[in-house]
Amino acid sequence: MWAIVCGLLLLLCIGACFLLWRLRRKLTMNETILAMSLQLSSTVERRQLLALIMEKTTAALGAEGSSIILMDHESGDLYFEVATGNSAEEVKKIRLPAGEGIAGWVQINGKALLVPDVSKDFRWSNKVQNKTEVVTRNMLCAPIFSNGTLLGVIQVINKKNNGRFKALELELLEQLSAPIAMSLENMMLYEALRHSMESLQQTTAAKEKILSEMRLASQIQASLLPGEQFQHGRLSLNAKLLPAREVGGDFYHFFELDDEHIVICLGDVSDKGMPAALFMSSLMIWIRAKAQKGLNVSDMVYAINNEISSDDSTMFATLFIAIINTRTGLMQYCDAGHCPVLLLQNGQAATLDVHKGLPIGVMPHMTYEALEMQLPANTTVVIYSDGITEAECALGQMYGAERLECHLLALKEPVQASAIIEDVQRYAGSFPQSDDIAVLVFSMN
Amino acid sequence: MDIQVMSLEKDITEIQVNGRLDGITMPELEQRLEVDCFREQKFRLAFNLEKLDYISSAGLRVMLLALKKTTAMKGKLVLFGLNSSVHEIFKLSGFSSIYTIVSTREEALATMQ
Repeated sequence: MWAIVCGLLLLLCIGACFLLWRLRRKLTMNETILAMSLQLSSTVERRQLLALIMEKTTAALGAEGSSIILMDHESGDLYFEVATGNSAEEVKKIRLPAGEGIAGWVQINGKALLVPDVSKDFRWSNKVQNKTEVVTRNMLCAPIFSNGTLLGVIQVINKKNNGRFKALELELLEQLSAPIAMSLENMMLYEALRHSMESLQQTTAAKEKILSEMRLASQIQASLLPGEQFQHGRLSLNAKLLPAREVGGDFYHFFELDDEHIVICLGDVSDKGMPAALFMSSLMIWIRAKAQKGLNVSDMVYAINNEISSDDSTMFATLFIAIINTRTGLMQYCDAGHCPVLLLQNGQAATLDVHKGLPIGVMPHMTYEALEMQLPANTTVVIYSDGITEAECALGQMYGAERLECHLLALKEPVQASAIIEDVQRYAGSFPQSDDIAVLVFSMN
Repeated sequence: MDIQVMSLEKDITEIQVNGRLDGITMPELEQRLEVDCFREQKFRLAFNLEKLDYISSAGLRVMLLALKKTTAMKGKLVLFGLNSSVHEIFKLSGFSSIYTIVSTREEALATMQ
């Protein structure tokens, strides 16, 4: 009877000791994992982190070395970055095709593996060993998962003192893969962040280059204009241009033809930004080139149109152009699809009669018809582009021709182009300007 | 902007353009014309502009492109159903002189016979 009780007590003791030993082992394991987590959070820099993971794993498992093999998600291959041990440099650039070797098996199966003798294992690939001259005897290998995605595989090579790895150590390695995964994830996030910051810097630099070119283009375009004030004979004129972007397609021009005659024009290219600006630049040159003494204004427009039109081009410009005798006030003018020109006289606004022609650049060999009128002394002529009447406010409503006429009649004489634009800007408020604006105003003294 | 392309009788294609045709929406119409009409060798086009609210000069550009393409391929282009403000833009820009503009689909079909 006593013998049975003693036996039972002994068994109980042995059981308690075993449990205690298990508990202690578990505790040691947890301590190792915790220590590892803390140590691995000290860096996010790739080379440092990989070296640290391998150093700490090697030490925790009493091995000769270890290597971390990362997954290339584009090719599906595994590749070595660095390895601890004596031959760290040699294993740096090795790629293993998907599924090759023990690491490949772990990659495919997603399970940890203890290989007591690699020479007897059918999965063993000596590719690494041949390159590094490290003789591998035994090995532990575990997958590293983060949120179900395989980041890579960790291999622990050769138990120290010619020893063998135990199942318990494989379990420890599996447990260690969690903090390793977390640190690798942090590293990748950091790298992605750094990469986007670098590309942002590059984009900003490229954008800055374009902006500085645009500023230069803007200055060149402004220099093509003849200025904002002009006085010739009895005629005084003022004008203003406000592109919606740095450069634009609206334009005006005025210049002397001879002692008595000047040419004035205002137009709008059917586009905005750089393409319109280039088209506008060539137009300015053609207008100057085709303005010859004694030529009828309709012949001028015919000649300009032929220079800039082709059967397949779709870039065009509306144009109002006039030749004015600044002594007599006789105006000969031509309307190539431009918006109405206003005449202000005795507190009334009227639209100038025109013979409507097609915009220039639409088709070659189009004919244009000119009209003539005698400008009375007390009349102000306002030529503008549709950027004025079609300017929108935040409610999506357009400035419109009526508002323009009301505002013009309320303005003190002489009417200034800048005062017209200011009213449009007041109307639009904070709503961004979407179209170029050009205004040219003149009157005879 | 909304664009509908449908086949009518005698290889005539109707293109309905609704909303605003301006610099922002113009590339979409250009793309649709290229893919649904020109690449399909359809050059007899009737533009239904009944629900077109506004056309800008950039919008006129794509209409000009359509006119040049159809003319070059010996096709035909007709516009119908323009509201008064869109019609006014065609008149003010001088474009009404190079387009066939009618009121209804029936008239458009009749001019294309």
